[in-house]
Amino acid sequence: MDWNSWLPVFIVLSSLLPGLLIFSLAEHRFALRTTLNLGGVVVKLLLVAWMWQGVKAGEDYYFELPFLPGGAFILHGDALSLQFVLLSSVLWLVTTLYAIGYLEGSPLRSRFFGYFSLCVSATVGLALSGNLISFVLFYELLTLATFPLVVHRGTVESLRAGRRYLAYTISGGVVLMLGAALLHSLTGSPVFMPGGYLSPLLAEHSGLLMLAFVLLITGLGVKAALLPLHGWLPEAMVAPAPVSALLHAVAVVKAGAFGIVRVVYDVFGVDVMQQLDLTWPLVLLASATILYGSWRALQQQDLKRRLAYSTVSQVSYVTLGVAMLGPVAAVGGLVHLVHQGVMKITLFFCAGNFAETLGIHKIRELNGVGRRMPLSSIAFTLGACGMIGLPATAGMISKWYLASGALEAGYPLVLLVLLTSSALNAMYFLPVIFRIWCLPAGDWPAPKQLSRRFETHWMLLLPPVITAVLIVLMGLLAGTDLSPLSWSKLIVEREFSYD
Amino acid sequence: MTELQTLLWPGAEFAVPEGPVALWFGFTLLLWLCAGLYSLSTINQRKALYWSSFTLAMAGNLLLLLAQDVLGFYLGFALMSLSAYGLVIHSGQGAARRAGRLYLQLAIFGELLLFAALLLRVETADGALAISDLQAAALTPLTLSLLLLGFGLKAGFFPLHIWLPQAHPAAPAPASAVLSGAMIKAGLFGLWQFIPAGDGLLLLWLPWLLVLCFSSAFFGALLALLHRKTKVVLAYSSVSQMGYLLLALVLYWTSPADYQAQAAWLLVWYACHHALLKSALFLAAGTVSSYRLQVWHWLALIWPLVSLSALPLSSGAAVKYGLKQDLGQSIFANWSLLPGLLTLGALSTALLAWHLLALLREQHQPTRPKLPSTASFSWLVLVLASLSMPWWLTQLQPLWWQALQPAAMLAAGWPVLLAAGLYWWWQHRGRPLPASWQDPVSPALGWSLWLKSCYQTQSSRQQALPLPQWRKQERRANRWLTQQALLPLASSTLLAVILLLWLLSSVSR
Repeated sequence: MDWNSWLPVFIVLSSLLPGLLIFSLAEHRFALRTTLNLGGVVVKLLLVAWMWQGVKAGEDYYFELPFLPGGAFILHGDALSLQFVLLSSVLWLVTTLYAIGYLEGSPLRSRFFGYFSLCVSATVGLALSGNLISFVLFYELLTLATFPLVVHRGTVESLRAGRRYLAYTISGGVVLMLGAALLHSLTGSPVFMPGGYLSPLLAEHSGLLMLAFVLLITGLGVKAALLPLHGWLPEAMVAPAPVSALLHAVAVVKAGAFGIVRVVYDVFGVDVMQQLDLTWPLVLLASATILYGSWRALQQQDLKRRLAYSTVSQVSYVTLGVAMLGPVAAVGGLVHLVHQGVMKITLFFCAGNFAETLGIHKIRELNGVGRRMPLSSIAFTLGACGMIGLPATAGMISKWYLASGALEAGYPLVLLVLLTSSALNAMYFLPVIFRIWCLPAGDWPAPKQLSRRFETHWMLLLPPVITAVLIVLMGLLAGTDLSPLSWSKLIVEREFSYD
Repeated sequence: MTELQTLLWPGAEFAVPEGPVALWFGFTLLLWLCAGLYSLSTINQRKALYWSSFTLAMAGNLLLLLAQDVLGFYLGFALMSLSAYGLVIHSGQGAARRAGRLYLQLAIFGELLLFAALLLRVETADGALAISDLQAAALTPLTLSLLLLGFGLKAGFFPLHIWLPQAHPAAPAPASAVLSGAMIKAGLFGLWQFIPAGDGLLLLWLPWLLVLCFSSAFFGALLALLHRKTKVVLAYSSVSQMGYLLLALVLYWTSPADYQAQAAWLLVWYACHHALLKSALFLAAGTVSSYRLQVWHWLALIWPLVSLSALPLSSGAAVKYGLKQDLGQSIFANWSLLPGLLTLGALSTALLAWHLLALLREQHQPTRPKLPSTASFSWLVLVLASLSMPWWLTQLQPLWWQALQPAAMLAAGWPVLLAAGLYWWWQHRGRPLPASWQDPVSPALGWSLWLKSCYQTQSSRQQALPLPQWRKQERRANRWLTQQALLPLASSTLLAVILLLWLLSSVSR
């Protein structure tokens, strides 16, 4: 047996199998469930690390099963997919820890962790998909796996949010399927390749290609929360904190953004995009989403809602970077895929900590939290600074590459968009930080003592601390081989050297 | 060192400073150390906030002087600017918070402009990230104005000074000392490093820059006379002195190639001279307002004023003389108006110094506690450093000696004597200022409050940026999708199948 071709399958299975086992566990089997969860995480991380060094050395990981005429089921580990796989696996680790602490003693944990693992499997599968058909398959699976997590609490509110989520994403899925089917009917679904595979069709079917592009982007835009399709995201923040964290940072929105990257670079390809003149509408849409999301975030009084609108804005940085089609901008967009994930997950962890420990949901209740919960507050501050793009954080690196990429690709106005968005980010994050650190302690709604030694339960505290440290490391040590920046440069090198 | 640099952000490069930059680094470090020592015994409240902001701002300030690449410089600059916010709001009082808000708003704004400026500069230099590589790239009107605005907001020359008279009095004395001595100088340092001397566009803009220099010099000095709080007066004095520093920089940009090194040195001497005396004065003002002064304290207080008025024997006399010499060498040598303006400036500075002395005397109360000895010591170090500047800086000595020629002494002396007479006459014989002129409130505070009301809403009902229709649209879209989800779902699936069939048939045909 060729281990290299089976590796992508094992990576997907390493979370799928524990997930299926967890479904069958009784509610009280805490130890076994935790072991399965963490065991799955560790195995996955090891496998991913193996693949990482392999891909870096130029190894190819390719798995194929016959599936449809003209389109097999393909799992393919290339540099781009690994970026997303690495992000999901590392953040899955911290989120699992967080979720174990967060849900301690609450009902229906087996169901929760089962779907949680399914959701990660779908994300990883989506990242590793080697062609459009497999991608669509995992994309739909992801929708189904996240729905039970959104409605986990079972309250009227969460059920309503779940319905909305489903309505948006299923419609989006259908449109995506439509686009994929259209392309499939034209050329079948060959494996994703740098430079795309559609250039032979350009002369004859340019209208259909454009239609397919619109369909694909609309379908992916639902999950990536592009402007008129973002309505589900702020609603879905009623979900438990670890779910919001995973939804916003990795699984769902990133699946959309990642899909856009795939479609632009590996299905259509830079040349076809340019010849069809599809670039500027996407840049325009992403810019509008960036500004609109920041603007709406400014008006929110609820912490999680503000973070949700901030996600709407920040995820479009990825789309923006990719849409500009220049290599430097692409580095910015790809690196932001990771940076935004780590920063946003930190912010959601911290918001969850404030809610769990002190009962804080509104921004005005945050007064003086810094004294009571210093570590969470520092993590929150770092995450927010990263979002603004202040130096010494990961956000600065993304912003620099996006902005210089915009100049290089000939979109000077995008610089203005980025600066305005940074200013808006500062406007909605700095007052929060001011409340946390500089105001005297207020009346917190429901203070609880969750730990004797720490400010809150250690399992709730450790994940945001880890990710906050990562934010600074990714910003300061951006030049190392391990940094997302170096990996993004590697991806761009491979994606742009197809001639 | 080089191995570390490849691990850091792209282009990261540091170097031990040499030449004029080394002096700049040296006086900055001295200032931070002395201010830190002074703070040790005088800062008793909110120590965590104070010291975290202090150390971070110090780190940023030193980093920007060491950095040889754009991103490193920007990192240091932003770290310094933003951490200083904690120093401004340290007292937690309303005035400090208002000042802090204005400071932070402008700091963030300046940060963004600077980001754009640096990015555009790097772009013109074809992606080179080393600061020295940027020197060859030509300026455009956009980048030059962005650089002037971004750094000017930190350097605080007129009309970008508006945060300065608010923030300096609000911060504790040692913090104001570093703000005024070291941090605003960083803005000037940025201008010096990032704007290539002799650039064509720069030469075209020079008349306007000169207007900026002199309006800053006179505006600061005159506004200071209207105020009666010592630290506000000192802040305006900084605005005025930044005008002269900008002049020194302009002279550096325009000086002929063989004279450029000398002009650069003069710029740094001037910066060092002003940094030492201004931080000593801020410590003096802080001491006077809460401690009792001993006799030698008065000497330590008067010397910086002497140096500020550029009386002979002081470092001020030497650098002012050097400034005039620079002027003679530059392309403005034939502009007969400029020496006259400089003399007029000396007169206004001397007036300010007398005003300050009068205020300090007025405020002193012998009943207050004694200044702790560590604080006294750090203050004394600054004053001695300022006093002995011509001695430890041997290159400055020729200028110092030249400033001791009778003609030069006369030229430096008479404005101070005239100012003394004028000030005495104004206080004792002249009519008092109208009440509305005294301690004028800056309109900037009102603007800052308005800006705040735009982004900070009190409750969910009260929205300063009312855009309810957006919310309504989002809700409507959500409801429509949820309630009639079946309809679009079914219809689009149907459409999909039909399309697919049609396509398949058309392809096979």
